[in-house]
Amino acid sequence: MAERNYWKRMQRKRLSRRSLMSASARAGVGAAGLALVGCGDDDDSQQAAAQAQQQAQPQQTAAQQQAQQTAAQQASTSQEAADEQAVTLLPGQLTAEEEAMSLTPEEEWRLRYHWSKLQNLPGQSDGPKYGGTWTLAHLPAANWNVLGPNANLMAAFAPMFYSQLVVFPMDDWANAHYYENEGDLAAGWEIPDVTTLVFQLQDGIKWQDKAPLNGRDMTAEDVKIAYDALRDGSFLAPDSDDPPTTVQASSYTAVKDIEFDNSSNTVRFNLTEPAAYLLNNMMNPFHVVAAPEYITDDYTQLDDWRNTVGTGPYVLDFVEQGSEWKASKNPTYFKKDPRSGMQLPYMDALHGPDFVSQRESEWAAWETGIIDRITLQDVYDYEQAVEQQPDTVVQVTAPPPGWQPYMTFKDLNEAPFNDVRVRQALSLGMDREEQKEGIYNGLAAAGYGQNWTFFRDDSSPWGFREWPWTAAELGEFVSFDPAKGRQLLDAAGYNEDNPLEFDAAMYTVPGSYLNLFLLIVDQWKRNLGVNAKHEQVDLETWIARLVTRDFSQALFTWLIGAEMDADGLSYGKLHTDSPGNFYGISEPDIDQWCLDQRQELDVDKRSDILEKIRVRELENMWRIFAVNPYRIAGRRGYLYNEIDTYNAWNPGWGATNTEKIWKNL
Amino acid sequence: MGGYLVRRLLGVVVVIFLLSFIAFMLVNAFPGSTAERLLAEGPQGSGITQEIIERFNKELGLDRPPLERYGDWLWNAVRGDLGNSFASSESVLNDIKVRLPRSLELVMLASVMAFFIAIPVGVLSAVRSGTFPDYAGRVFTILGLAIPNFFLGVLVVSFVAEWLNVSLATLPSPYIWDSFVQNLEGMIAPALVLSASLMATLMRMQRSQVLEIIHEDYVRTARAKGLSERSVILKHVFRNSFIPVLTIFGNQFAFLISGAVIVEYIFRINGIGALLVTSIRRADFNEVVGITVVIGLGVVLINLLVDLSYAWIDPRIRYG
Repeated sequence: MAERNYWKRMQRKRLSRRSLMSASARAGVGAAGLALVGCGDDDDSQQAAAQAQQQAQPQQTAAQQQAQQTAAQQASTSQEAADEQAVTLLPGQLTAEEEAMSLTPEEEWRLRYHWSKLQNLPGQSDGPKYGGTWTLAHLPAANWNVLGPNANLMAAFAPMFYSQLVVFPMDDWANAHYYENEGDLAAGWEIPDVTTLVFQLQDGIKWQDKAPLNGRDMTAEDVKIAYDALRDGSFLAPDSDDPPTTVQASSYTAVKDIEFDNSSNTVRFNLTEPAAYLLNNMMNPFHVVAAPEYITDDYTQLDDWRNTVGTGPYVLDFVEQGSEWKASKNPTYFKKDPRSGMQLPYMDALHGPDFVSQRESEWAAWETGIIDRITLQDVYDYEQAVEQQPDTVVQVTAPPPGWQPYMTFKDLNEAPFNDVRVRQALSLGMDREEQKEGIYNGLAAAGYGQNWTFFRDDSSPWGFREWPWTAAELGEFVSFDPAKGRQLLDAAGYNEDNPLEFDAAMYTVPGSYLNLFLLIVDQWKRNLGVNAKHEQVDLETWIARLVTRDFSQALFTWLIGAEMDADGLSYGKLHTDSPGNFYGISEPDIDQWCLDQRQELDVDKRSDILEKIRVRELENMWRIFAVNPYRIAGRRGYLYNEIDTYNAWNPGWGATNTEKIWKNL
Repeated sequence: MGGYLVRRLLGVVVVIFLLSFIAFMLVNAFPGSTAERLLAEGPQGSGITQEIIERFNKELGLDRPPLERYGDWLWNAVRGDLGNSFASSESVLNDIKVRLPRSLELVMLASVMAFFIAIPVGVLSAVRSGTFPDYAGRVFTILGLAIPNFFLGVLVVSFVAEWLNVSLATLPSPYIWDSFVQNLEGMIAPALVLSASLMATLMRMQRSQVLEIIHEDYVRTARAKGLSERSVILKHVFRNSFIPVLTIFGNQFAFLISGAVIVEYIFRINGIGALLVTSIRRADFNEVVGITVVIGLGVVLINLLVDLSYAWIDPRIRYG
């Protein structure tokens, strides 16, 4: 990387490593504080924090509650260091010690563009300010129904227009490196016992002033109706013998029923069993409260964008399919920014011109200052973005565990992939370092399909992993050992006289994924003598190939599922009975552990169970992960709180945060 | 003339029927259904299962045989109902109504530009054969024919952003009756890009026709009679050179419309071409077939008009 001089454009300030760590700790306490005050909505932030802390206290089931406390403790002990850090590092800057260290490109990118540095941006202390339009390249939803079969695609929009009971807090201080639950419609919640969850709703929430709601007050009954519709399709079609199944339903299987009390403004979820995942899953950006007028009448009316009426920060004003969408500030929005105490949202309007796959047009819009953010695919994009807009603020993010390249098999019970030695050998024959360097300029991590942020890491300020595992941490079969791979293949009956051959489907669009898949095929040929014949799949259907198992023997894919809780990537993908188990994985121990972690409310114990699942899967190589490229997000220097974590890899998952975005022009 | 017209109109009906059938079956042959293709629009995938895909397909009637679905579509279409979009649930007819004006304007603007630039330049190039204007015209012709409009469009968008700091693809594109100036600002560049190939073709044809006719005996006679050169070119050469050019123009119109599909896409003009691209990506049967029929209808009607115009240009032509 050195020869490309990536860093020379960036102004550098040199501070000690201690200062950097204290910045992280401060960020941790900020995040924790945000979670604690998130349930309040008044101007007195201290009072709100105390009140919210009290309200949130029983919520020990929220998987990362303990992490917040850890972060807070650690941060308080490093108060001195925090005070010292009056001058702070900007994105792109390293301390002198870090400069002197022998860092890999991956480590260097992570350090230079760490999210904690976003708090130090010039102009940050001037705000927040009201006004302006946030413009982003954004494909309008094909269908706006938050209860329909493609409601998951509404994750890109739903939080802009609708509200949820809980959300994950996101701003320049709170990147979701671990999950917190912040009240949205809920002012707070209580868990009187392990099968009961009672939400206290905020007062004075109004629906947007669009027919048929016309700005009426939102009630606890509205919330009950909306969540019933999310969890059980029979509420959408009461007279149908074959009611629809919503895409959100799998998150609410433990919910027995939902009660409401309009007078106390509370909603009670009664569960059949403890559900450690429930609160996190409820933060999913498409688990939103739709208007009861549509749910009880004909929910398919929500297909039409004109019927998008929620209690969210923006009102959807205009959609032209294939062209653009526009939204304006909801003047009756109920929420205030817990950090500033100011009424949300900050922006007057949102504008999403659609470039679909016209990347050149998107770049032209970036260069001419039309759009405020751009997603950068690699270091070359990074260079171009900075060259065109020198004020570009960059954030390097950990790749989402639910969206990374890997290979899956059609049938784990059929030869050759029913033999664990074959699967292990294929993994050992992959040179992941070559993949990292050759395809991603070193900016990638060893891949694996569980969410590392739910795994303990005592060296982290908040007690959980911030970054993905290294290859060395992923067990013996993720190392590069072609000799051992050949031995295993030989033992399984495959050798030079009888080479292993199979069909591997991959998609045909030029780009890093295709390059990676082709490299893997080449690595297997070179390192193991394996012939993987690639079968081409078009871009439009290759995701569906995974879901419908429509391929011959093996499929290179990248979709696992962007899940909000560890449950989605463990039970959701590995349990025998889970409809999201596209892999045919069926293993009694895994099944039991997946069930155990669902009901384990103790964070440490749950983490231990997840670790057992992780080790077992990596021994069995039911799915073979390659490397996972990091993502680089670019935004203009005048834009704040527009963050991009693995929760917000595209503007979709960042839609939760739109209300807090502001401009300093 | 009347019989000819009736026969041609009957031909139009048959062509449109065949076109709709072929389009329907082609879309049906796409791998993956609308539900499956919509998955590609978002990375989320969360909660999507085979059961949900099957349900979606069932709700859209995609579990029925293609011929049966085509029959239903045809029955509704002849009654003026092109169905609803599978993806957005919007009426296809309404989608087309909203977008057609912009597409028509783009194509007409490109045609007018091509016509009014190519014909004079072609004539000039022939009359001044071997001079700088001729060479310049021929270089443009070769470039216009050689550079596909999708590539030219990308170049224009990128270089205009670089040099003029203008993002052509995000210029407002109101209807022409809402804001004439703003509309033209957004339409000129894509229309020029779209017209480049047609312009080159017409220019080349016009030049060769003029070169051929300019040496005819009757032109020599006209000059011998003492007519001015301007009068000879305009009255005797140009008019006689025009019929083959008009034929080419009619034939090229179909290419112009198909070119508009990709130009709209690049310049973000919300016309039926851009919608067609999006709908193909989504395997949205009703949209694809509806738009194809409308475009096909446009092409065959334009060709019919061109054929009918021959008699007006050259009274010697009779329709049998």
